[in-house]
Amino acid sequence: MILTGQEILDLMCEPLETRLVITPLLDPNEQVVTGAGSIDLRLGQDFVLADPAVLSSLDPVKQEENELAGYLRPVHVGLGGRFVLHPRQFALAATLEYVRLPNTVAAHVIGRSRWARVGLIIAMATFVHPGYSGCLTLELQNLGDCPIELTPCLTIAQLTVEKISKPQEIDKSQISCSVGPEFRTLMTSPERDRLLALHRNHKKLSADDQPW
Amino acid sequence: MGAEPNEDHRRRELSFRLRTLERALLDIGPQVRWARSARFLWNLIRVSIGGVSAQLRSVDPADVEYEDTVSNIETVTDVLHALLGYVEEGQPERVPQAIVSALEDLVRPIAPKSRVLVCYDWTPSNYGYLEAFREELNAVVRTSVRHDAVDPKSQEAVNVVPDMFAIVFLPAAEQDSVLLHAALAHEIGHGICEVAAIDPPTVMPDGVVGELMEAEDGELLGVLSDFYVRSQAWKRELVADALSVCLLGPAPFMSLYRLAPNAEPSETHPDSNLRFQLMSVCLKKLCFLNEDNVPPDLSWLPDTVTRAVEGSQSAVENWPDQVFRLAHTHLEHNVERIAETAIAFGMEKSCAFGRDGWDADYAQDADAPRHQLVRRILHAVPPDTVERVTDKGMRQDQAARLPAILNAGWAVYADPKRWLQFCQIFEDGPVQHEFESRRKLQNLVLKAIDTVNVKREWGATA
Repeated sequence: MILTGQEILDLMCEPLETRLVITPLLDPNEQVVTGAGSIDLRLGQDFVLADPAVLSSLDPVKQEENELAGYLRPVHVGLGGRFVLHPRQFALAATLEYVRLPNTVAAHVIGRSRWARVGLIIAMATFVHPGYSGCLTLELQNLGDCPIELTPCLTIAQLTVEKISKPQEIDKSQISCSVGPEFRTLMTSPERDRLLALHRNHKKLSADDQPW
Repeated sequence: MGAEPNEDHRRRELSFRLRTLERALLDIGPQVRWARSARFLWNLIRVSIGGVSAQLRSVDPADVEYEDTVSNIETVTDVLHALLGYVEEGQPERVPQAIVSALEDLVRPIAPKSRVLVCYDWTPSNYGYLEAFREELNAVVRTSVRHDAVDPKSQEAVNVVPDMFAIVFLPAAEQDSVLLHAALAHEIGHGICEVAAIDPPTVMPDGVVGELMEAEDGELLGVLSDFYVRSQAWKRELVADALSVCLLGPAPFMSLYRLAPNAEPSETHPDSNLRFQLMSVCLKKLCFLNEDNVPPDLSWLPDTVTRAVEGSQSAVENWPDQVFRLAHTHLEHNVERIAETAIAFGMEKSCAFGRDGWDADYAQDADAPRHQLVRRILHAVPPDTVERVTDKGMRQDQAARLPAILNAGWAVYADPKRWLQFCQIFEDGPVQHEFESRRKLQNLVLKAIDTVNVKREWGATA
């Protein structure tokens, strides 16, 4: 069940243990859209840009994490500054707001339609788990033909909050306390090990198939 | 008649250096200009290059003042090159900017137009303060303003010379250690000390006078002079320590305890023991260590202070350097006086927050804000807001302040029970990934400082 604006506000006034925390809310009256049942989120000051010159391709199975880290370049934009997202460019950003969900609700972060109409995709992985703590990472891509100038504190996304039918034990990995865009590991270690073994096996079989 | 060939060469060389400087300035990305103090320096250098270049073009070798003018331009060009280095090191992408603004706010009651530029120190010499910078800045401004051709707008900008322009350094390896950055308050203390010329009077204990007089005739002057220089240098450090406690409370003490729990004395710095003694007196005077009234979230502090003072004690009488020994004895005898002078200054300038002063705006209960902030951290929420309920029962939140935020962070980190409680937010059972928990605590504190800064800037534009 999606919560209404008033229900979101009520949840934000609960005792700290069960409270929905969204901080900072620079304009609470404007950001909490009572009728729409959502809360507007602003763009943070930190971005991460991919540097394609560093890697020939992204291979989560063979590449080590530190190689992937070299592929990303952090950029900080001060208040009042501009971040220009060029056509077809991809960047990670984060919400200005730090969000902590209680274990009774989940949320979805979605781009605002006004930005979608100029070709700006804002979030691709949209589900926020119950118990999540941290700034939300946004995946920005400019699908339009014109560069877009983005300013920190711009209302760029919105968060809808849903009540879950049965409160869950909080998954502690969700408490990331991140304060900027996060680039997590692309896969878990056991998954990577298995895929790597399969990959070696495949390579060996291919070599065995050679007629010479 | 042209200028002498040598003079021509000298001027061409200078002109080339100025052009190189201009190019290097423009090469610094536009990002840097968003760090307030770095942007100020950037603009100052740009304007100064214009002023100095015009002066160089118009100077006539036949003038009586020719030599003075050209030498002055040479000096200023050197200074501008040095300043450019600080602009490069003070880039906002690397330095935690939120803490810079918060520190500037703290100094404002003393020097309203103060600016703080935080740069990286790539040597492991930790936190530092550039003392001679103010004079260099003034020299640049004087030279640039003197020239009439400077565009009036730029001239106006240059005239806005800060009361204090402190360049402070933080070790590059510690860039994410926000709690340790409380040590920057000590460096700011040096700036305040310089601007306000704080020099607490000291009294010589009899033993020191006696031992000084025992020096042999030929050595007396040398020993006296060494003793004076050392004592003055160490006293400046102690005053900066006292001011840091006035500004931030126990946080700078905790930072120093973590960074240098047992440092030996050096030419410039006293041993840790003397510094801990001084800070302990300041904390007592500011009501953080009163045995019958220790705030619950700082209950670990008195023991920590005692441990720091006792653990850093060394047998001073066995120190091989007589001057170090005498300076230590002299200043140990004057710890109370130094603390009193610094705190009195702070009170007068309303920068001494103390336990009561900090929280006076928030609530009747002096410890309520920090207590609330500690609770927020223990629920993985940034300690950025203090909740107040008005007389009419309405909740009215207020932005937390830097001292309360940093001390709440330390209250969680330094108290073993609370630290365990915090780590267990992220993992079950015995703590195995303490490093991750530490990173998360730093994130929460940094976010809180950043949020307060953003809210203030946002409010200012309303």
